[in-house]
Amino acid sequence: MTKSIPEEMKLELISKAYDNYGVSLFRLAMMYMGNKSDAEDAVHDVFVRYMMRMPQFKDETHEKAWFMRVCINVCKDKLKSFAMKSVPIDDVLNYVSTDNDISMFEHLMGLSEEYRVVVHLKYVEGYSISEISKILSVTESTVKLRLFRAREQLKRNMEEVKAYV
Amino acid sequence: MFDGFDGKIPSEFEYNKFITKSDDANKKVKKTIFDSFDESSEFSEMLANGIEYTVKKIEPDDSLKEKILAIPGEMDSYYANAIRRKPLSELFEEWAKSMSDQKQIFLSEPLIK
Repeated sequence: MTKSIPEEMKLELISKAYDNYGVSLFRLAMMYMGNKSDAEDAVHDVFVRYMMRMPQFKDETHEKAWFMRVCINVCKDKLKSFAMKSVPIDDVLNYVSTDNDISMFEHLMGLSEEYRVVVHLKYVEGYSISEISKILSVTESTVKLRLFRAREQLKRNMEEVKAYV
Repeated sequence: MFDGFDGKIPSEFEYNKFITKSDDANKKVKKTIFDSFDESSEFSEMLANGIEYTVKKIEPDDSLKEKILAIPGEMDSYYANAIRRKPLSELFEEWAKSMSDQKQIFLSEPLIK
């Protein structure tokens, strides 16, 4: 598959894809893996899969959705192989400085994986419910329910913290 | 829990009524979930802004792009090495040698000990 694409073209395609989606993929991987080196490995693996398959996309939306979907799969596989029950967030905290940010990250990372990814796709990537349902291969109702529950949990946790302060 | 259920076993007619009521109740719960999915509420807005603002502070190092751009070269050299590692002639030689060794062992072994 990749043999028919000249070397310069491959590099150009990868470079363009990285410029378009690299940061989003890294953020998504960080939300899953919680540490920089595993997140970087995940993004690397996503691009290896891209290289191996060189899929054809209908448009940029389709292309981005493919990258996000593959990133989610790669992260899930890695988490399975690591047998990680909880995600360490020390590396995530290196990116933020204020107490508000730290507390927001702690709340986010405290969500279960399925809630966290829906919240990320909705609030960080700005995907609609219908787009998230396609990326995650679940129904729109499931996405709404997960978002609803995630928000409820976040609200509850934030209120609990506020009560202690 | 079930609206209108008094503990008695309902007749078929009442049962249908009960199911209808139960379905309505379910619909009401679902409606509540989806109605409360109000993007314009103060909390939703605060949450959306807070999450977006915080998570967008995560940026990969510049070195990640270099690692990604090195993938085609790494893959090419991997496949080239994999092929180079065992050329067919070498594989054949190895096989011939192993057959010859086996024959030697076989011939040197007494048939009846």
